[in-house]
Amino acid sequence: MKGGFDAWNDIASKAEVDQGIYLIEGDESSEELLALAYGLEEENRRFYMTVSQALKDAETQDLFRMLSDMEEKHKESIWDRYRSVSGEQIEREQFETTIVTGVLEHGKTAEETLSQFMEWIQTTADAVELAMALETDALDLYLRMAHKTGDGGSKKVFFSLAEEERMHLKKLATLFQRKLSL
Amino acid sequence: MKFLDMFTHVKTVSVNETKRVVREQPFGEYTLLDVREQVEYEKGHIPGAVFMPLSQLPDRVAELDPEKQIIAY
Repeated sequence: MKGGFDAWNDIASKAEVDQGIYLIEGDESSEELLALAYGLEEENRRFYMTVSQALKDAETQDLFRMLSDMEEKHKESIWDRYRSVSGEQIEREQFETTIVTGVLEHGKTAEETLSQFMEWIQTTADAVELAMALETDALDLYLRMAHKTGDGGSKKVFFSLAEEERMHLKKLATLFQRKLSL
Repeated sequence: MKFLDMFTHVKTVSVNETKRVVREQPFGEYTLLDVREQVEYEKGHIPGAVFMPLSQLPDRVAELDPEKQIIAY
C-alpha cells in the first residue's frame, strides 16, 4: 500500500498481537466457535448495558442501550447459525449453560475496559468513538481468529461474524456523523 | 528466491483502493499483511491485518495463500 500505515486514515485496531487470540487453539469445531462468539457478544451486551447505567447523560445512555440491543441481535443470528450448523434439537437455555463469558469481543475483560475508558467518556461523541474502537477490535479479533484456525468451515464462521461487525461499524459511523451534525 | 523472482512486478495499491477492499470485499478473498515491528503494529493496524514483520517474512511466507490478493504495508 502506497505510503504505508502512515497514509492510512480509516478505522484502525490497537489490539495487541496476542490479544484475545488465546481464546482459540485453532482446532475447534464450528459449534464451539459459534458458542465462543455467542459468549463474546453476551459479554459485550452486558458491558454496554453497564456503561449505559453508569453514565449520567441521557443521550449517551440511550446510545449504549442501543448498542446493547445490537449485541442482542448479534446473539440471535449466532444462535440461528448454531442450530443450523449443529442440527441438534437443543434448547437455548441449555446452550447458554455451555457459554463461557468474561471476555469482551476485543479480547479484554469488561473490568479492564471499564476502568480504562469510563473517565474518558465526556460527550456522546466520545461514547460513539469508544464503541467504534471496541467494535473495530472485535472485527480485528474475528479476522485474526479466521487466520489462525486451520479448518475451512471455522474460517467461514469467523468471516461471517467479521462481516456482521463490519456492518455494525457502518451503522455506528452513520450514527457518529449524525451526532456530530446536530 | 529464484532469479526471475527479482523481476516480478509488485503493484502499488493506493490507500483508497485498500479502503475499498477493507470496506467491501468479502473476507477471505484477500490478505492484509503488516510487515512492521510489533510496537508499531500495536499502536495501530488495519483490522484483520496479519502481523508478519519483515525479519520473519522469509521463514513464514508459506503461511500466506499465493492465490489471494496480498496487500502489504
